Amino acid sequence: MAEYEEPSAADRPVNVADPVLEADLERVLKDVPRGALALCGIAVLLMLLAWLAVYFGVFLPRGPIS
Amino acid sequence: MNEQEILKTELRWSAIVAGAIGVIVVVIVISSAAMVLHPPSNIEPIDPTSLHREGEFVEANLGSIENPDGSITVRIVATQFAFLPRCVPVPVNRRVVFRFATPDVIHGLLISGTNVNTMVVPGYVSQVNTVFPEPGDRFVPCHEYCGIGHGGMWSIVRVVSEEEWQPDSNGRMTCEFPH
Repeated sequence: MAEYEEPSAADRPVNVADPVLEADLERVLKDVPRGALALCGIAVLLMLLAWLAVYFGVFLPRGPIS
Repeated sequence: MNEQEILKTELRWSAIVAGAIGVIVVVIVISSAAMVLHPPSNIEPIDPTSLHREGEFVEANLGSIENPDGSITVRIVATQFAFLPRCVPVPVNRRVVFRFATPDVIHGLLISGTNVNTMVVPGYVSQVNTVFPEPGDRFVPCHEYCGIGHGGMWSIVRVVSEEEWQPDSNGRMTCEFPH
């Protein structure tokens, strides 16, 4: 195996490891689902309202079919 | 956040999504049952080679006719490249039964501003029931490419008021009337 004068970047932990402490990570992740849920909830609610608006505002007024 | 909490969050979200889908399904089921809405379904064979010579789609029988129960039957032949007749009158707020047949190739049509939208396939009668709540002209284009003249293939459904709906003694009416 060849010897190199320059060390590998992986020699320094800062280049390969996440410097964030586990405790800090836990604290941040604790609040993440709330924001994600709020965002998803708003998106789904808007889609549901849009569907209802098209169904009652466009589809039904166009008259029944069978 | 441990795995139990993640699972709980996912289950909660699943419940929310299921609730949203449930709202849509309930709205469709209740309105369909209350307003008798369902997709047009009519499997009725017809001989495309002779429909212009015999049966209900002969030329003299095309167009709008009032039935004894007050409903209207409209018979239209879709052919390259026209709907026959080119214009059909129907009264507002009455049940209208559209019956379509074609002697040549596959056509399709929609009545603009309504939910009427069907294919017309050689060998079968397409039937759609509807009610027109508002008077006015409805554009009826062919929406299935049927050949070189497809772009010029269209018709008009003229929805008229009860006063304007004046069929002859046979219950028939055409678009040739003061409008």
